[in-house]
Amino acid sequence: MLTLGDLSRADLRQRLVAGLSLRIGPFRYLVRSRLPPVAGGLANMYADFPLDDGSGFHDFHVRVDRVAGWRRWVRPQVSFWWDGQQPFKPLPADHAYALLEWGMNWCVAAQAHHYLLLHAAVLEHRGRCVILPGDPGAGKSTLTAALMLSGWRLLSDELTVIDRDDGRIQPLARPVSLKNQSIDVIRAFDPQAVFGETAHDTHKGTVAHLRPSRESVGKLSCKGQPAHVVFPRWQVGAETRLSARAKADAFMHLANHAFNYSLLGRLGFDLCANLVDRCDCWDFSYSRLDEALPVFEELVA
Amino acid sequence: MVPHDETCRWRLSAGADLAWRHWGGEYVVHHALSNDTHRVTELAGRLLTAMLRSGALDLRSLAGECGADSGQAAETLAALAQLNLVARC
Repeated sequence: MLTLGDLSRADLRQRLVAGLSLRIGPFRYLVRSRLPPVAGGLANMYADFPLDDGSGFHDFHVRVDRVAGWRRWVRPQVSFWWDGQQPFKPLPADHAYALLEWGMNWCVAAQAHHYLLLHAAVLEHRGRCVILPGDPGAGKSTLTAALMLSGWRLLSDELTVIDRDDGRIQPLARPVSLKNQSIDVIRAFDPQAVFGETAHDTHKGTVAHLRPSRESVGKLSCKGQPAHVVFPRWQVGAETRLSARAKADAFMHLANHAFNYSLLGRLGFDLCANLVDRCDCWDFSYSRLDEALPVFEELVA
Repeated sequence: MVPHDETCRWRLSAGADLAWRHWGGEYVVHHALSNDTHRVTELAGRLLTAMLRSGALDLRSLAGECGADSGQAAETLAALAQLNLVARC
């Protein structure tokens, strides 16, 4: 099977001008861009994704390109288009690839209301999924990256997509977005990890994307079974500690941090409640990855 | 202490169509009409589910069914009324 990584850079850039089709779990994107950093980022981060012929329906038509006018030349800017509209303000040109990734997340979060969408990472090991909701700075993405690099299957680092028919989790294994110190932590954790270009001075600080593992990409059509909800909390010097969290409290946190809980009404309640019914809920504090990972191994043993 | 009349009858608010879960001594309740979700105490959850089962009930019966004294039940019902989950009838 031909993958995106098999394309020459010239071929990829040509396809991006016409529209590159990417299937990511249940969604199909048609991505357009004339920008070399976007082509470079996609070649690097989506190397293991299968190529399809681009025919048929696409859920999201997206584009990242330079903005018109004087901003083409003076402190150049780029913008994200979805179906011809620009949902965000333009950003500096060197944030082009990060903008594409954020925009692709936004497409799902803002529109895929045929699923319950939780703001949480999710990984699977031994057939059991661990959902990691987390406020910014809680260490969710660092933990996600370390678990994936330790052999866990990544389903998503940002969006837990709950299927309304069976309550299982749709995979959306795209690059893991790491910020600030987490980038160096993960580089040190696994020197073989493949990173994209680093974007500095974004609204999230310094951002770099980590390529999803080949195993995760290879299972993009396999839904996951939720087993645990773990609320991580990274703190300097914190002891590694896993403690039970009240289910009612876990429910309220998940509902409050979901992208579309209210919009789904009663269905949102039922899906979220069914998820909490079938999961054990935990608080997890940590400061060291080498101590944190065995705790997760034990959870799914 | 909320002044209470033990013969006063209470019911779920109109259009409530409550959905709920009971986990570890707490209830989470969804109110269909407002689309609000509330996390409430064990007693509040018991009062709500008693009215779901039996319809409108007087305070004394509700308190008896939930194993609470009338004062506690009246206070809790007053709080639930503020959330528009229950109403006097």
